[in-house]
Amino acid sequence: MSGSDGLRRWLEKRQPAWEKLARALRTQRDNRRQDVVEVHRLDEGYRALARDLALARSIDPKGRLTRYLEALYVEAHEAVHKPARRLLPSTLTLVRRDLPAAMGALRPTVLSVAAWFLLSALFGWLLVMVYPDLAALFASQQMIEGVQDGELWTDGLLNIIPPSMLALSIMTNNILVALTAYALGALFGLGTLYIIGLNGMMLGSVFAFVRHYGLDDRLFEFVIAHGPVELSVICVAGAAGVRLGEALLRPGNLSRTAALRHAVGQTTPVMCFCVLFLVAAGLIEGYVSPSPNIALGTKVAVGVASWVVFYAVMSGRAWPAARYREHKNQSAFS
Amino acid sequence: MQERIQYPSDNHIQLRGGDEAGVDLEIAGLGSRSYAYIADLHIRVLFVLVWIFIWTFVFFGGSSMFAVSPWVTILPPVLFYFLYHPVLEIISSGRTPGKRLAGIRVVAADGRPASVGAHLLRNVFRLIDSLPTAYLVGFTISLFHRHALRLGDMAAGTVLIKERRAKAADLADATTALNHSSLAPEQQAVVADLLERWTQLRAEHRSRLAETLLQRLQQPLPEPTGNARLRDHALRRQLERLLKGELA
Repeated sequence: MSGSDGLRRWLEKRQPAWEKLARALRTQRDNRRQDVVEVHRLDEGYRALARDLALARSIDPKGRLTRYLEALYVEAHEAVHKPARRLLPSTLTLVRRDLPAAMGALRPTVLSVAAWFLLSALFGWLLVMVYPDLAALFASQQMIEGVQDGELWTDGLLNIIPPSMLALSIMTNNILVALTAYALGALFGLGTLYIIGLNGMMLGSVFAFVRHYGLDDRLFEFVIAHGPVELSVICVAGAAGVRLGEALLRPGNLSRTAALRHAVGQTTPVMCFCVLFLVAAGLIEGYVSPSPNIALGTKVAVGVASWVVFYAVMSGRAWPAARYREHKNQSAFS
Repeated sequence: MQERIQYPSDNHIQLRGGDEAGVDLEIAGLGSRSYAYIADLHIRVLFVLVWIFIWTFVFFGGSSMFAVSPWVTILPPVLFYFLYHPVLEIISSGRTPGKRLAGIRVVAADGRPASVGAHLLRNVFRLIDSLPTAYLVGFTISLFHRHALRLGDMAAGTVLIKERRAKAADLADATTALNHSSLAPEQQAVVADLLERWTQLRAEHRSRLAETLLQRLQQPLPEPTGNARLRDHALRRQLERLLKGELA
């Protein structure tokens, strides 16, 4: 068989190259710091392998050699195409370019969701003002009895739970609520609107309920330090969720799946920062809000300052836009 | 991200690099997915339990439960439990210990490593996929999806594929056969196929197949023996020698 003589010579010549490439891939997995020559060699090996694979396929499309070379090709492809890990530059791009852009696109939705939230709060407020008994829908029996005795459930909070524990549990809860409100947008936005509406009604009705017993100024004192950021984050997360639902309802020229993926890509940076701000709000709610030693003025100042920071970061106003040179960095989220 | 993603067939996606021919990657089914998830769940829960045990012993040792800050007692297991999937997937391109065990990994729909954002997203959507309990939503959706995707994968544009590893022994086997065997490559492939499945076949079937194959290839059959097991063993040996070119 003269054909197989050629095959043997080819194998003899190429086999060491494949073994070398396999070894290079293994060391590359173990140690990512490599000099340019090594990386260049890896890339060359990958290209040569693609040609060898085509040849092996023409000899025996489903043979063992073809299958081995295919597996090696997949490994080399991953090593060559793995995105570079540049944490700092891509984070900067995310904060300064992608986040403000995403928030700009989301602005009308945020305003609508905030309006929906306020409307629900107003509804809850009116509901409990007119029918005070309905407070039982939103508050536990224990809370109601406490308020009837003239005590707010937030009063002795720090005597029962240490602030760190309080902050942790609030943080976890808020992050879960925000992420769920976002992800439930995939149910054509209905899940999001339900969660936002429910939270709005709770806020309104609880305020109406404590007002009935003349405790509303104390509840305000508890809420003012962390409330502004927390409620804003809930509205922004809700807006991101509504955007997902909108993509499914009105996909435009894209398929529904493609539209959903596009909306998801747009809203991911926003959600990452929502989570970060909920961590901050949780810390405030654990350490500042329930503390009887901190004056009302300080709490108001904390609330205003934290909201200003939130607004400045989310809208990109915190960074001078003109001085930021557009990097060639691809953001982590594109 | 906006263009429609093309899948060449129901259980494969194609990995393309430049203008060269693509390689098929097999999509992992519901079984491998669940296996990987359950394995990962064990690791996560085990970590949390060990952490709780350690602190329980400390507290029973006499110190008050609030003497140690919850930032030490509660935060680490919470972070471990919730960040396990996204962080591990991001730092090892779509792999977690459970997925390694099941031999699968997460890639973008074109077979390339998925972006950081995609990994974060497919894990945030676990919140819906795990509703109402025990991943009922995700399980049902992937049961009916032709690529066995759950919602999180659809949103993030990711797919789970079966891992392909290039093993040095495979190359050695293949080249020995191509170099030394008197058979044509496609004949070698048939013999290799039979040997690969040898242990999965019942003894009488594989012996009959081996005999037929050897006769068709006009190769000598092993010496007849009275014992069926010895015969089976001899036939396997004969096929192996045929591949290595040790037969005339």
